[in-house]
Order: sequence, then structure tokens, then C-alpha cells
Amino acid sequence: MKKVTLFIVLMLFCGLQAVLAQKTITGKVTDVSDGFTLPGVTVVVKGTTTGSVTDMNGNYSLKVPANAEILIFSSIGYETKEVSVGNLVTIDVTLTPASKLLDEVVVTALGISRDKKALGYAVQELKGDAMTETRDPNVVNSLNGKIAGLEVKQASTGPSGSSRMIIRGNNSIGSNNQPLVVVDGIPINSSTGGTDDYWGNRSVDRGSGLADISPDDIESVSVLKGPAASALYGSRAGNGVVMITTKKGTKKKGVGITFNTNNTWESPMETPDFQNIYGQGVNGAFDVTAAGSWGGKMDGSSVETLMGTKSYSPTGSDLYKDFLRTGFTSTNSLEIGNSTDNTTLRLGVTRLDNKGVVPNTKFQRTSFDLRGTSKWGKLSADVKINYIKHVTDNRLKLAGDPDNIFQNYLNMPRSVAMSDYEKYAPTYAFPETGAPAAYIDTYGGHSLSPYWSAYRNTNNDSKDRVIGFLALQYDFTKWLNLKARYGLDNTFTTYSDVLASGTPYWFTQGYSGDYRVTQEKTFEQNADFLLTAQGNLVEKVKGVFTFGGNVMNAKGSYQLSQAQGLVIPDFYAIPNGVIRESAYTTTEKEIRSWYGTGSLSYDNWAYLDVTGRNDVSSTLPAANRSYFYPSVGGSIVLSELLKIKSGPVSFAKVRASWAQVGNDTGPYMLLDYYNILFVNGVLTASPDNYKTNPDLKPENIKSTELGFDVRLFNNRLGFDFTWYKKNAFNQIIKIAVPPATGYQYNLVNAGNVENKGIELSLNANIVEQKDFTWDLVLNYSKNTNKIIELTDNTNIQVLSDPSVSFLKVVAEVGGLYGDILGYTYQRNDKGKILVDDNGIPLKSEKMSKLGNYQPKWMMGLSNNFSYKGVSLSFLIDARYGGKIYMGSINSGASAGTLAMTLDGRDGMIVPDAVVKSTGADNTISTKAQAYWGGIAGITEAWMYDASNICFRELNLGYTLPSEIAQKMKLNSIKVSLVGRNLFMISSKTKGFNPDATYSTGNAQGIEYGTMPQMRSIGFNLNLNF
Amino acid sequence: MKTKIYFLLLIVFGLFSCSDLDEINKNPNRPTGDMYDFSRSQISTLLRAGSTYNGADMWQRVKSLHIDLYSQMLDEVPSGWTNTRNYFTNDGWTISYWNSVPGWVSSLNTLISLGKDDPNRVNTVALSKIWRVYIQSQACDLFGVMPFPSYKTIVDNPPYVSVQDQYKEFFAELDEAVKMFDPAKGFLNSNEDMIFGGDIPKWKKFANSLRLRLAIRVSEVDATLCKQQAEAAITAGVMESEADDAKCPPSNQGWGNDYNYTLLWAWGETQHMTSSMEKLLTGIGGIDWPATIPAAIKPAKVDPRGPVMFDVASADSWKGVPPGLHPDNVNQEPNKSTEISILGVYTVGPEGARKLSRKYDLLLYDEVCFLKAEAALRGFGPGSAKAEYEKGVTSSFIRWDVTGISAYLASTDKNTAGTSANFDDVAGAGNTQLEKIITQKYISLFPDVSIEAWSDKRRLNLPRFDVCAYRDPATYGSAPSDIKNPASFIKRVRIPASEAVNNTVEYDKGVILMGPGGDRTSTILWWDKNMNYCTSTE
Repeated sequence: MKKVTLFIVLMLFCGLQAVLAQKTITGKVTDVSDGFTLPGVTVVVKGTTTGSVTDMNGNYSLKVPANAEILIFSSIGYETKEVSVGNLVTIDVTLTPASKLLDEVVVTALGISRDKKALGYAVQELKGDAMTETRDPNVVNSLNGKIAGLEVKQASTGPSGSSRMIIRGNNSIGSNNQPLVVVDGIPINSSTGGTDDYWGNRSVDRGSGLADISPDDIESVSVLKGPAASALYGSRAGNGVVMITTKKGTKKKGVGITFNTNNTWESPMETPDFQNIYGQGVNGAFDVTAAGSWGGKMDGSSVETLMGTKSYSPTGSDLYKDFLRTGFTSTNSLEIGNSTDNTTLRLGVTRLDNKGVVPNTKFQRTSFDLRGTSKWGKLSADVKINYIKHVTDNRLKLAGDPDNIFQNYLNMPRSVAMSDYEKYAPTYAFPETGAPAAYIDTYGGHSLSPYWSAYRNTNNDSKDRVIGFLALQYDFTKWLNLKARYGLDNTFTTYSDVLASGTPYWFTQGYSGDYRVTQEKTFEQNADFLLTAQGNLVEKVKGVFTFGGNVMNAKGSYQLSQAQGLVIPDFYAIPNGVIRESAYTTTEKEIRSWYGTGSLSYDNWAYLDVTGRNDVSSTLPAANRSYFYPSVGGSIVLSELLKIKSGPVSFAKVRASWAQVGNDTGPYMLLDYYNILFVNGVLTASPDNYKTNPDLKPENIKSTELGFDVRLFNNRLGFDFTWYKKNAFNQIIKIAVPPATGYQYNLVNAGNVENKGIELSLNANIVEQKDFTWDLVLNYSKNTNKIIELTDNTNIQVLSDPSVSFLKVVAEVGGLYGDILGYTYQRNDKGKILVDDNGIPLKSEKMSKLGNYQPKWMMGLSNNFSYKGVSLSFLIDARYGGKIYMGSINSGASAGTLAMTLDGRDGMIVPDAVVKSTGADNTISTKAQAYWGGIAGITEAWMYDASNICFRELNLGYTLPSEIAQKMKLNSIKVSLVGRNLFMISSKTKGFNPDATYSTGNAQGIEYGTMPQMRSIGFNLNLNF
Repeated sequence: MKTKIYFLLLIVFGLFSCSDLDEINKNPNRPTGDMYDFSRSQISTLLRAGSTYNGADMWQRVKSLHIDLYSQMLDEVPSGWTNTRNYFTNDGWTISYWNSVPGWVSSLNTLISLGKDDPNRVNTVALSKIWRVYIQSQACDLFGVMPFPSYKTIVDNPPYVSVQDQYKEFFAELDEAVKMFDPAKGFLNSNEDMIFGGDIPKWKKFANSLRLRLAIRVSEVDATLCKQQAEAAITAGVMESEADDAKCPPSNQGWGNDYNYTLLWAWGETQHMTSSMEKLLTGIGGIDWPATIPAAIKPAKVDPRGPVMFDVASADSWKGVPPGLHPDNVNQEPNKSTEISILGVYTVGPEGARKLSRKYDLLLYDEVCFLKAEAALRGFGPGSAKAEYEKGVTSSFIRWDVTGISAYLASTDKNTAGTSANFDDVAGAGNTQLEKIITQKYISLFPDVSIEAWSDKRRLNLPRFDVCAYRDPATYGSAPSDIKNPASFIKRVRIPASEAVNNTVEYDKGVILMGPGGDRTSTILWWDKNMNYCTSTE
């Protein structure tokens, strides 16, 4: 409220700009990128020879005729600029460097815009329009393939889920590896939602904080990959930073209204192959108690099933065709914005409506983004409020949850039709019992009807979020300013989740059904100030020095109300529970920081940056609470140093940086606390399963980075190469300890995880004709990773859910992060598979390493063509290497539903195998049912190569000629045909998603019952009024 | 000018009261140990956790999917492929138990250490010692060699302890604990002690009975120790009637905390009678199949407890399923689940009125009688084997609410294994007095104390079991399948694979302690000498 009032006051000030006409005009010319003053700029009155030149401080003074209308500012290396004189007496001008590539300005830490050539580290920036036309509801997915070194794993739960981002490999063993997200200089909460729980346990992915930001409000996204880039963000930036700069009002022709509508239709990109010959049963015959399809040939005979007498025949019905529907996402955004010389104002309103491919799922997001800036005299202000509202119905249950319809479908006999369930609508229950209509009467083996999961066991959440800030800047002199800023990020989420009365398994004191409501609040505040001094120190030496401080305070609360066992069936209210549980917990954390930077440049070819930051965190013990970390970086622009003015090389730069970043931990990790619950007249008390540590030290990441940037042939071809190495030390890990210690984990500072790699970006402007252009951008990255050290007592840490018995994702000393251990086939010394006396392959007694989940390299290739008003662009991304355990293929093969199980139904011999007991070559005949069931527990049999190449994005756009637009009273009209996730060019996972994940945690490389990737195709229409 | 600067700085820092960072990092939601005396709360919590496997998740995975199958008391319609029923290892099912037991023991260690110098805590220390032995002995009989964290010598990572040394400590601790009790000092109240309601004499009897149970366990490996400990236990005073039974009620608080067999039913996993159980119950006692229970397929004569323990199947038959069927044969003729008897409503209650609050049996008076009978048969302890045997059977009849005890005990009718109920009738194969005692003990342990039944099977190869139809070929490929060969049956549960990963050094030392077989399901525990007392020819 305070901010709104202030905003209004600022607006009033803007109207008071009274100006008198004069014949002498004075002003100052500065560089738009770094704010440095520009000497020697020619200023001429248009159409005359009257002119002047700026002095050493960039100031000019020019007497002009009373009728002078326009001044022209020009300087070598800058774009010429024309400015209307009007009634102005002071005209300050910023000039933009002439080359579109040479002097890119990028937003760096603390929101400071920097000349890219001055940086000692790699930064890649994407403009907002890269995310709006070929849009994905989740901004994160739009970054896929566009940033070298950024791995994006798309959510497996559709548009409302969260995607996992990893920059330059995994660092952290114990905690999150995802980058910090900063919007307009203020860090926001960007936690992600998928859990590592293999059994699901009612968990859903409630989306990521970053996805709340509407792509339409984004001006640009900078990815700060290395700690050198992010050192100033301190504690939370060890995994890199995704910096989002949102739009301000800009000077526009016309009324300054833009309307954009984007409508896409979604359907599965690829689906697995099922068999349609054998139906429900076992051992080649129909059996009403069987969950799989090992029955007889579906011959159309009449069979008694639990859902009635029906024909034993291929139903032709299919989850993907008959249960899923075409999804539809419509995003409509309206932008109103304009600016005067001293004021900008912008309002962006975006509404997203998604109808999911799974029936009864829905996702809506409404966002209002109001931003204003103003300047009066030496004081300027920048104010923003972004309000976001989400409503989501029926997020998908994950992994092994009994409500995971994609997992259940893999077991559903091929003779069962969707219509078998549908006839029980609307309750989808057997009328006699109220239990879900199903094809078998036991609950094992995931037999729940998809309709029950979609329509009865429902969930709903709504989120209200306000992100805003107020920044004031005071310019004391031309070289000194002070900026003060207050930012907040406030979310309030209500989530409710229902297990309908009659749902098997979930019984409490004899009553079924369960109703649970949680409410979560997070409130993060950041207050900071930054004092900046800049100028020419001596000739040719320019300097920028900053000193600042920040206080970050994050509060959270969680409230749970749960009714277990519903007395009145299907009445979802807390008092209706036979057992009612409630909980309310709060958390708080604060970090106080000081930081400073120094940047020096010499003669436009040598640059040096030094930063230092000291954090004091509430989460660490008093003795170790305060920690300092520095960074240093620099670059040399060889092309300037060597005065290269001609020849093929237009620009060449080498850069180097070194940085250290400290990190704290979560609150309340220092003392032992009890979990208490009052049960039957007794206070029960149990300690945590981990040993706390009162002497925790901050974590530490050190990194070194080298790179070069070369542009050739008048900037038509550019290479940017980076080599980096980073080591994460002293990680705060809940390290698994032998349970005999009395704990399952100890909280320790330990470890040294190293990531080394290269990143290469290639920009080529292949064709540059008046009417036709072809640009190509290639991003390539390769990361190798090594676990150098854990603790003295431990050399391995399991990253995955410990209750998954057949597979462990680990970090082991000497190995790579994310090595996957599991059971192999038993083999003889010649490597031949050993089978038992029934001819079934034997499982090894011990686990061994089966691969690693990380890709060896990743690549993104985008091409942009434009011909007159038509533009065509597409993106192909590839990942090479990395293994994934395909739990879905295991399920479908064990149940005999996948097409791969057709062979050997009447007999097969496992080839190239040896019978263990006799040592003879295998000639024992077995059947497909026994074979696929027999190898179900052999982890190795289900490990697949996750390499894939995907045709990720396509955009065909047409900008109507401006005459046509003007006839329609519009400034511009652009229509585009857009598509995302169009098809797999290459994949080895049999129609299941090779990038699948149900978790956004560190246990990747496990697929289980995930939804197919959705192909979306639609159109975008952009109107500018 | 200055005002403006101050204004800016005020905005920045005025928003935060400079609160104490230590204060911020104090967890407002959960108490620390210095706020309250948690010792009684913790014992109380552990009493229930140790009695009930801490709720349905662990109970199902350890009790139902391991112990019940290995004791052949129950079988169930399986889902998926080969599993623990076929002696395959599934450490996803054992991991949480493996992780929890040392945590419980360590918590009790802490309570013992904290209370040892406080005369007012003498009784809770004694109870902690008893309960520590109960929890560890249950796990020890499952896994064998495993860590047993000590409260005397504190080490960072307690080593694996041989089964022999664990038992040594069990006996010493129980002896000490019983002597420690001081009725003049405070104890748990009746809510906190949901097992005996704060009754110290009953805890003493429980401790002595537990000591007797463990003493008889070592009969084959160390007869001297067996005699010495059994006599000491009996002298100190074991349970004397059903009133001394150790039972723990479920908390009924939230999901998973009702009597767990009722929960299995709720999710459709019916518990079936095994063919071994059927053979033990059929014919013994000479009593006709009860006319009040109609069934098309049934034995002519049956132990009257049989039709109460297992209900007639929906296909109107009362019969058991062969244990460890190959998945291809599960639920196939002639073993369709509809034809196999299921765990009776007497135990779990009828549909709509399940016995959600049925107490879990931990150690019953009947078992004590059979232990004493076996001791007497071995020539030590007071009393006669026959008298204790008959007391045990009588008590079990009362428990199952059936009549005809006199006729039953007099009858020389034999079950399929050749065993009769008459203690003096030893004619025929399968009819030794030890076979009678263990057969009756087996029936009386049903269903909650199945772990004791499995331990007797391993110790004595009694009672007579069918051999699993299909066993993990990697371990049992060349194993015998003769019912009289103890090596035909599973001997222990493997230690979860995470130990070899997380605790390599200690685990490797532990594997050496396990003996020649190493960490396999076929490796015998210390007290298991692969003895065979089974004389049945069937």
C-alpha cells in the first residue's frame, strides 16, 4: 500500500516539468551502455551547418535558431541520433554503440548493466520475444537449448509442473542444485515441486516459482553461469543465477498498446507401442484376477469380468486416444506502456488458460505487472508491483502413486476398455460397495481406474503472489550516486487434496476417504543500498566502484488440516474426519551482507573487475556465521589492443576469472529437536533421524573460468568459448551414516565435487541480403564431473529414495555425480548371461555401476530465416549420453501390455546364455511371461541410453506490411504459426520420454509412470496499437 | 539533501528491526530436550513402536511379507513377480526396519545413560533395559549378526556383534533389569505404559519370560547356557496366567495405526492359510468339523481352533495353499484364491466391524507354558512337561474361544504330520513329545507371534512344514527339498544392500562373523545348528 501511494506522488511530480524556450541548448552526451561521458561528439542542427562538439566531459553548448527543430548527434563508433528540440534547453543524449554485436550490454549481478566486452566471465542473454511467440507456459522450458551449459528437464506433469534447471553440472550432494532466480535485481522464491518419492505418496508437483513470471513481462533473461558472475549474489548463487529483467514502458509510436494472443493445442508427442493380441489373464488363458495381459489370444469370446460380461477382444480403446483429450492453452496479454523523457509507465496483463490433456485438469494464471519509473532532478524512482494468481485443478500424481494414471495404464489388461469404466459414471464406483470399478478386486499392482483418479481423487490449489519493489536513486554528482531498494516476494498458497470415500488402501478406523488442506505462506524481503562512483581516474583509465549492503529476511509458514477417514461419505470437511490432524510450523532466516566492487578499464582494451562480499547468516552458529568471499576477473580486447581495423577479425577478446562463493543452510539445523504428538493421553516424543551439528561452517564453491570471444567477417561469424572448473567444498550434507550410530544421517561439512567443462556458442549471420537473412545460433556444452572427496568415514552417498531397493543413484568418491547402481545379469567369465533351470536369466547378488544420468554433452541449434515480412525459425536440441532407468517399460513388459512382449508367448529360449547349474549352452524353453517377469528385478535390463535429438521449436511468422496495418489503425500486425516439442528425431526409449523425471531433486535418471511430452501447435497474433 | 539520504537509508534498514540472529534461528515449532522431561514420553513412544513395527508400512513389509511367510502361518495373493515368498530378497521392504531398530536401541541407551545415576529413575531405566533387549532380540532373530549399540562403551559407529554376543548381553541385561526395579520409586502411569499399565510385577514377569524364551532358543548350540538361563528365569518368576499376557494396543491414531491385519483386508490383500498349517490342524484332537460351520470341502476332524483361525473360502472350501508358489502358478487351479481359506473374522472382525483395536500379542502365557514344557522335557526347571503342555493348550483353547479341551488332550488322533494331542501317545512317526509341544506352541503363537514359530522351525525343524514350491534359484538352486532337512527352509533375512554401500568396513567384518554362508538367506544363525527333530514321514 505504501508503495502505491508513493507511486502516485511520483506521477504527480512528473507533470510539473515546466520548461522555457531558449536559444542556447546545453547538454551532455553519454554512452548508453556504461553511462560514461562521450567527448568529441558532433552536434549539428539538422539542415544547417550550425554545430558544435562535446568537450572532455561530454558537455556541449550550442546556440540554435529559434526555428530549429532537430539536433543530430554523431560520433565514430556510435549510431547517429536525431532529437527533437521542441521547447527544451537541456538535451542530454545517450548514444548507442554502432555495432550490434561489438558492444552488447548485458545485465549482470545486482542489476548492473555492463558492457559485455568488459566481463571476465560468460553471460548469455535471451530477449523476451524468444519466449513469447513460441511460448511454453513455463518460462524455464523456453530456455531449453538456447543457453550453452544450461540443462533443462521439462516437467513430466504438464504445463503446471516444474522443470529442473542445472547450470554447469551438479555441485551439491545434499541440497538443491538449481540456480537462484533474480527478478529485477531481487531474488525470488523459485523452489520446484517434484519429489524423489518413488512411491508417490500423494505428492504432486506444484510448479516452480520462476514459472509464475509471465513471459510477456520479460524484457530479457541473463544466465550468469559461473560463480564469478554470480559472486555478488552470494549465498544462494553457487549454482548460477537466472536473472530476469522485466519490461519498462518505452517510447512508442501510437497509443502504446500491444495485444498478443497465443493459442496452442496439445497432444502427446510420442506414445509407446502396446500389443493388441493377448488379453487379461495368465499362462495364456483369461483370468479375472490377473492384472496383466498374459492371457489368451483375444478371440472375441464372452468372458465374465468384474465389470460385467463382455467380449474378450481388443478394445481398440486406448488411454491416449480415448481418455486423454486435446489440451488447449490460450494466453492473452495486453500491454499498455509509454514513456516521456523522464517517466515511463507500463501495465502488462496476462491471462493464461490451460485445459490439460488429462480430463478434469485445468490451470489458470493471471498476472498484472505495473511498472513505473520517473526522474526529477537528481532523484529517480523505479517502482514495480507484479500480482500473480494461479488456480490449478487436479495436478497429476507422480511415480508410484496409486492415482498415477500413466503408470496404472501400463498394467491395465488390453481387453479392458475405457468404456468399461465409463459406464460407471459419474461415481465410477461399483454401486454395491462404493469401491472404484476395477478389473481386479485386489489393490495390488496399480489397478485404479483412471476415471477414479481423474474425477474422484481430486486436488486443487490456488496461489496468490505479489512481487514488487521500490528503488530510489539519488545522483549526488555526475560521478556519484546512491541507490536504495526494497523488494518483497509474498506468496500464499492453499492446496487441498481428496481421496474419495471408497478409495482402497486408505482406511482409518474403518472409514475410507481422506481430506487434506495445506496453506503455505512465504514472505521474502530484501532491502539494499548501493553507492556507485564512476569516472575517469587518469587519462585512459576509467573506474566504477560500488559499495553496498543487503538485508534478506525470509519467513515461511505451513498449516495443515487433515481429516482421515470420512464418516459421512464424500463430504470433504475437516470435522467429518474420524481422526483430525493439524499442524502449524513457521520458519525464518535472515542474511545481512556487505559488498563492494571495483571495475577498472584502460584505453578500452583492458578490463579488471574485483568483487567482495561478506554475509552474516542466521542459520549458522555464531562463530562461523560471518563469511567473506571474493572474485576477480578481467578481459583484454585484443582487437583494440592490436588496433585491428581491417581484415577478417572484427573483434577478439580473451577473458579470465576466479571466484569463491559462500553458502549457508536452512534454518534450525544446529540443535536437536523432538517431534512430539499427544496420543491417547501420552506425549509421544521422537528425535530426528539425523544428528544435528552445532559447528556447521559455510559451504564454499571455488571456480575458475577462461574464455575467448572472436567475431569475424565484419561480425557475421562469432565464437564464444568458455572453459571452466568449479569445486564445491565443505558442503552441508545430511550424509548417510550406518544406522547403528543411532541416526540415519549426520549433518556435516564435507565433500569436494568438481565440475569441469566447456561451452561454445556460435553465431553466424549466413545470409544478409536486403530482403533475406539467415542467422544460425549453435550452443554446445560438455560437462564432466567428479566426486573427489566426501567425509573421512564415507565415500558414497545415496541421492535417491532409500526405499527403492533395486536402484541407487549415488555420489561416490572417484565416480561421477549421479552414478546409478543396480543389479546386473549374472554372467560367466566369458560374459554370457547365466540362466536358471527354468531358462530365466539370474540376477546378480550385488549391485554394480550401470551408468550415470548426466549427459556427456548437450547441443542446441537454432536457425532464423527472414524474407521480407516472413520469418521462419526452428530449434533442435540434442543431448548425448546419460542413462535412464525406464520403470514404465519394466511395468509394461512385466504386465505383458507392451508390444515388445508379443514374441515368445508360446515359447522362447534366451539366446546366447548358459545354464548356470550345468554350464551348458541354454536350450531351455521358457515363455514370454516368465521371461519378462523374471528379469523385472534385474535393473540392468531396464537401463536405456537417454541420448535424444528433439525438434523442439518452430515458428513461422508474417508481419503484415505497415500500410495494411495502418489501414486497420494499427502500428503493426504479426501472425505466427508456432509449435513446441514437435517430434523426436532420435530417441532410444521406445516411445517413452527419455528426458522424463518425476523429481526435480538430485535423484535423476529414473523414469516411472511419467506422462508423455506434449506437442503443442498453435498460433500467435501480435497487434500493436 | 541530508534528509533525503537519511530517508533512503531509513527505507533500507528501518524495515528490519535488528533482531538477534540466534533468536531467529531458534525453532519455534519443536521443543529441545531441555524444555521437558522427555524420558517417559520416549519410553512410551518406543513401547508402542517396538510392539507394532511402528505402524502399517513397516509392519506389512517386515511381519506380513517376511515373517508370516517364513513361519508359513499365512500366505497372500501376490502382486508382481517372485518375491520374499520365494525366498528372494527385497531390501526395499526391510530397509526402514533395519534403519529404525538401532535408532530405537540408541534412544533407550540414552535414557539408560541419563537415568543411571538418578535413583528416582531406577524403574524407567530397568524398563528401558528390558525393552532394549526385546527390540534387539526381535531384529537379531531376523537378521542375525548386526550392530547392537551399547550404552556402556560409546563408539561412533557401533560394530556388528555376533549373535552369540548379542544373546550374552540379552541375558545379562534382563537379569540386571529385573533386580533393579524398586516399587517405592516412580514409574510410568497407566497411559504411558499401554502394555502393563505401569504394573512393575508384570514387567518383571515379562522380563523373566522373555529370558526363558531366549534361553530355550540356545538349546541346540549351548545346552549349559540354555539350562542355566531357563532355570534362572523360571526361578525369578515367569508369567503365571493369561492376566500376565504382554499385549500392546494399537494407537488407532491416523492411517496405519489400526490393528494391521484389518488394514491388509481393507486394501484387498487377503491372508490365506498355508498347506503346512492345514496339515497341522487337520485330524488332531479327534474332534469333528463343527456342524455350525458349513463347508463343502473340509477335513472330517479338525483342531477346533482351525475353523476359527481360518474361515471357509468363498468357494466353500477349507484348505491351505502350498507355500512359495511360482508366480505362474499363483492363483491358478488347484490353488485359486477363492478356494483357499482366509484369516478368520475371529481375529480381524467381520466386514464393517473390523477389530481395529485388537491388541498385538507380544508374549503370551501359553508360550511360557510351552517353553517350560520344553525345559522340563530337556530335564530342567520345575514342573512336568506334560502338565505345562496341557496348561498351554488349555490356555490357547480359551483364547480361541473353543471347547472340547479334555477330549482333545485325551485323543490319539493324528494330524497329517502324524502328531496327536495326547502327550503320552508317542506311537508313530511325527509324534514325539517335542513335536507335540512345538506343534501346539506353533498353533498358539498364531498370528501375531509368528517370529517365534519361524525361530523354532530354524532351531528344531519343527513343526513339520511343506517346502516352498519355488525358491530363489540363485541361492536355493542346489538346496535340498526334503521336509526333514532343515536346509530346505529359509534361515534369515539379508541385510539391506545400503549397508554394503554406506558402512562397508563394518559390514565386511560383520559378514565374516556370519560364518561360511556369509550374507545369504541360507546362512544359519548362531543358535541354529541345522538340527532336525522332525520325524514325520508325510
